[in-house]
Amino acid sequence: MKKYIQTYKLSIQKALTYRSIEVIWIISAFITPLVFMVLWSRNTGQSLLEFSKSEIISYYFILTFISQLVSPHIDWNVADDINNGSLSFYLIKPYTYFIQLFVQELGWKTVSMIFLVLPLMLFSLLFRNSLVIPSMSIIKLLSVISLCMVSYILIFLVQYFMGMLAFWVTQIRSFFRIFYMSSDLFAGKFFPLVLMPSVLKFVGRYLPFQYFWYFPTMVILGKQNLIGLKTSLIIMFSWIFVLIVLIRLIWNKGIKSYSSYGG
Amino acid sequence: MKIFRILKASIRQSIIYEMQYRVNLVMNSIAGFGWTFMSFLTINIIGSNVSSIYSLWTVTEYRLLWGMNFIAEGIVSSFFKRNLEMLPDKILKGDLDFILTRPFNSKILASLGYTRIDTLLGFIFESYIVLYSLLHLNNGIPFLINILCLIILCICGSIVYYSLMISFLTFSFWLLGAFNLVYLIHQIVSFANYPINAFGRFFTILFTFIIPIAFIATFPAESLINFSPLKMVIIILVTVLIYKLSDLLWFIGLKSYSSASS
Repeated sequence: MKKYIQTYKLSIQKALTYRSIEVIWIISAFITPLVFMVLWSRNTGQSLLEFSKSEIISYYFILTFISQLVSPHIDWNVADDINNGSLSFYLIKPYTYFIQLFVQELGWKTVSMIFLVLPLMLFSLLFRNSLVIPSMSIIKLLSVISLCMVSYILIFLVQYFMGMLAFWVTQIRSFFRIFYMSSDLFAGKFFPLVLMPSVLKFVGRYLPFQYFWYFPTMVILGKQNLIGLKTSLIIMFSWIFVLIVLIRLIWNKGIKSYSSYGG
Repeated sequence: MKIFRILKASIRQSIIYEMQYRVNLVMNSIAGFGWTFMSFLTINIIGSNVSSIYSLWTVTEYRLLWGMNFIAEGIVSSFFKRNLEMLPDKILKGDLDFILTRPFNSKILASLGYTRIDTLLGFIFESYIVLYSLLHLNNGIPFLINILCLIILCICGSIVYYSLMISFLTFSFWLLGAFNLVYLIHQIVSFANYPINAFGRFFTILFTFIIPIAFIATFPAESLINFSPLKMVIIILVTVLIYKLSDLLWFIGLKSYSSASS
């Protein structure tokens, strides 16, 4: 346990050293929602399907906050470690690569949460007349926090899985581009999924992406009914189970085909 | 001209490289097309629901604007973006020395090298949307003249985008290792997918005078829709000015560069 605590501390130190990079990431992450929030706030139409004007602005605000909170960035780390042979460096050490990566990412996340406060305050101020954050009971708040934790685990597993494709694919960038495209679209980054064409909406329901940010956002906004909530949770946990099995299989197979220079 | 010889060599090298990873090329082309299509889907949903857009721009005009922005972005992504992404790392490690010691404009040399060919599929889709919109524009000008103006305006738009990217990247001379500056400007340019005046007075001023992304698509599209030769001349002059400013920023940044050996 001590070695993982040490990893966590080192990760925080590293994140603070490269703080300008972290700040640029956070500013970048808030630009796309800013585009949509400004456009919707200038809309004279009062509602859109089941969303009022305030709700749709709040949607982008909450979704961005959730996305920053629950999204790790490990896909490139895993792929790079495999492609340039740094994985060997971890394999000879007495800890599990998966846990080490998980703890390392928590360190980065801790620092990014500190930097996240500023854009959140700025956005709250800019859109103070339009934002509606529904009041939550303690039970609902705890449920939302638990849901965010499960989302974090789901994204972590999907990214870990994607990164491990590098065991067989040297040029992984194209796979990642398709992955980012699908996750941005189906996780509701550009518009709420209710506005999607029905075919895409149907496909999206069974993919893991909408459980990244869209599902927790809809729960916070109170737009998820009880039956929908139960089905969504079943799909979400099924994906986690499937990914754990796949990751174990791929790791066992991939590690046998892995080779590093000088190793 | 030297620059075209460099460009030709860069395209040739990139094709040879990409042909080694053909599956990757196909996947990248699909991804590129997917991003373009997704953006098209988004602007259609937003454009048909946000009154500050549909009350000022018709669907045809709005799609023309989007297409012009994406063509400008496609040109920059194809020829410069991947090379510029590596610039902060070159500055950090001192690899910029290899560029500075060569007998050619360092800014252009740092921007060229790898040419993406996977953007072609997206480019065909964008061109189709733009040409279709142009055919239905009804601005009273012959189609061929419209096309000629469109080409000139798209080149101007891509020069503005490129210059903005260079200007932002000069910050990496001071913010060492800030590899994600390219990503930041890419995000800011997402405003240019929509008519800038739809964002209100503050953003119109900001994106006209401070970060002039309105010159990538909004003003060029407006000048074509209303067919104003005067506006087109102003756009060309402003493009030259923005390019020259990016030159100036680049050379200011270079003064702060300490190479690996110094």
